[in-house]
Amino acid sequence: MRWVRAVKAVTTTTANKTDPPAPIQGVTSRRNESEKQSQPAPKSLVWDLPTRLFHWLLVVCLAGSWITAEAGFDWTETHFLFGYTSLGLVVFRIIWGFIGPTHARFRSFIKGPAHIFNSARALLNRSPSTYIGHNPIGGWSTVLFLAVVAMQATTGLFISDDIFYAGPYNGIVSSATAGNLAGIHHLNFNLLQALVLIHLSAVIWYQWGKRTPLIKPMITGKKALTDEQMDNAITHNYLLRAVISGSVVAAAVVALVQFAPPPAPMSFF
Amino acid sequence: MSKVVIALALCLTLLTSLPAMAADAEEQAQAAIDTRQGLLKVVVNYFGPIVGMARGQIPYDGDVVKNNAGKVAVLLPMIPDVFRKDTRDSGLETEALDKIWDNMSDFQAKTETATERALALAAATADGQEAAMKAFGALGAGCKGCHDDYRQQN
Repeated sequence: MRWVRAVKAVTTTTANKTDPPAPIQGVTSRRNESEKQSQPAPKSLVWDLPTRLFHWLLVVCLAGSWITAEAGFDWTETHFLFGYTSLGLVVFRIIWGFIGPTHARFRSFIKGPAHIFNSARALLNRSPSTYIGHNPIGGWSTVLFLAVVAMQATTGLFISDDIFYAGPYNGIVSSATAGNLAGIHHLNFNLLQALVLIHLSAVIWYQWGKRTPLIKPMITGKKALTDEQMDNAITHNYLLRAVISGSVVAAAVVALVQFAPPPAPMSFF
Repeated sequence: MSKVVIALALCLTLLTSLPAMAADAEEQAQAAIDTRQGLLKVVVNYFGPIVGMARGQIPYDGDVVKNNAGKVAVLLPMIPDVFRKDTRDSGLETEALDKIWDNMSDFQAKTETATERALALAAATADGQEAAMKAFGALGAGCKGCHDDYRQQN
């Protein structure tokens, strides 16, 4: 936690305790680069721990559910667990988008067409990105990702493999509806794969094409900010509210998949 | 004159019976589809209780598993028979994919694999519940072989 205090010390000197909304950034300022050469800039906290944990747990869940879906019946129950966890992660991230620190909040990265246009223009040139949190395109992809994962996890609750296993809510829909939802589950997975591929390509492009490190900040949470960007570093991780909201979400998901569903229908006589 | 009348009458009869023949073809295709679905429902009738045992909805009963697996092994070889009627061009609603008739030998091979596994399940009941449930998993994977390739996923 030493670095949190260090960041706090830096930001309090600029007399800005509350996270201010991020100013419009984008096309200007290449100071970043020159400063990096003269002396290493102090690392400031941008991605809070709950957001990073969310990100990497989602990576584990998506990879895990793909592998377990391919691996046959012995892994179906594990596939369900990954799906339930993904659902919980998405719900948590949506809540965190309202109560988390600045750069985790939807308000800070859901931007209108002008911003999207600017970030699209800056996307392909090789100069480093000047955005602190998500750029407008990245912000909207976050929303798209959440929607697609939510769709994947939700449809999974209603479908069956025709043979052994059924999602907890398979019994409340007709088999025709379950079949349609299964179709969406399979189609939507391709969409999810495409999104992941685009995401990885963008990360690689930023990391090595635009020389804007993205990977390490998503691990450590810290980025090198310029002096005027420093005000936008976050001062804390809001761990308490993360633990509380995370626990509530986890309990809700357990209730949803374990206690609330109707008993599995007896499909035999 | 009379030849012309007879010819005309024949033509007229043919023309009016064409829709009727089409209706016959459709009825036949629908009957084939109903038969297929009926057979698979009978398979489920024997398969279902074993699923119930695997899920713990009803207690395990080795005799029931043995009997039902044996019945499934009798039913599965009928699947290629009832799929012999090609309904690809019928336009009727079915989850059977056209690929079935393109790869009939593979379709048949897959039902044979599943049949062997049903027999293996019946035999495995002699070795107790755990062995039976393992063999049941293999049978399910055998069913899945066809469902993945030949049943519409929407």
